[in-house]
Amino acid sequence: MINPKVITYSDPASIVAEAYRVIRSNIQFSNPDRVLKRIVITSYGSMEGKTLTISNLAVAYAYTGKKILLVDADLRKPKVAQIFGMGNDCGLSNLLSGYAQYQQCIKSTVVKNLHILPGGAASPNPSEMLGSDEMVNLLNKLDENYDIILLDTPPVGFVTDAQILSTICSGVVLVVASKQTDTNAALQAKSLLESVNANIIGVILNRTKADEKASKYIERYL
Amino acid sequence: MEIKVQDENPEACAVIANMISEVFTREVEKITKIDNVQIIDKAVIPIEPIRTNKLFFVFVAFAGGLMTSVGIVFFLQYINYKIRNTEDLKVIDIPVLGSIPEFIPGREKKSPFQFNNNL
Repeated sequence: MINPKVITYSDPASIVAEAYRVIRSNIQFSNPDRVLKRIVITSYGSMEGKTLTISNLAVAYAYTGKKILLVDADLRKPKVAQIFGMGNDCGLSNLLSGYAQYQQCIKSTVVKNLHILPGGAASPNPSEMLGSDEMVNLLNKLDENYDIILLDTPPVGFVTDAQILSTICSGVVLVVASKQTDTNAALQAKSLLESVNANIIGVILNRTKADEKASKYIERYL
Repeated sequence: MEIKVQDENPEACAVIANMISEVFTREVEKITKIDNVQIIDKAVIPIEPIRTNKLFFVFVAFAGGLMTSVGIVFFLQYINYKIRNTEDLKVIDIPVLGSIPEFIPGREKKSPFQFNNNL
């Protein structure tokens, strides 16, 4: 069962789900001259809402009819499989170490067009695995089967994984948690991504205070 | 040298001031062997009381307290570097793709727009 916090699936008519669809559109139209095929999501620290944001975006993307693959590239603390209520036994780390074929590990979901590649078994050297030629080859193979590949990553402020991935992907989205992330931390995340020449698509502000005025207006509108 | 006495009773003020000056001249002459210590002005009973303006002091205290507390609020705001709204994100200088409100699944208000799940 999909975690109800994936609100684009559990409650697609809600205002919050609408907010995710707005972000989806903004990403789609951010680079009109360039198709963003591989999108990395990261944040400076942990617990800022990366995995939930990417899961919601993946469902929102899948509803557009495009074939979507959500890859859990956080090999340190893979959480995507859990959110979608599936096992983490076969995943990205297994593919990169050559123990499985990607057809075996990719799982379909109840959402049409949305497929998931879990993180897989814990590995001792995630950064090296993600920076390997196998990773590039795998992404090239996956590109043929999917329209958009979304990659969940560990915090860019702590480990280099997201930096490595952003060099082989078309864009990076930064997640910032309201009342939690320091301005300096966000600036640091930006400079870390800029130092590897990543294409920063934009920033998502997560867990903001609900706008009471706007909700009241919408209530009246209904 | 000037002697000032404050008391609620105006007569007592004058009496005390005059008594102090008299005793003072006497005692100083005795102790220091100087004999030209004189009283120039005698204290008179004051016509008007001083410090009647209690309200003024209350106001000053109130204004002072207000200014201090507002100052503390601004200072705390100044030393808080947390990002709260999209306005704070301007410093980062990255396009803002959107903001997601905090939510509890199943208890969210419906969007006014029809949503077709079967695309």
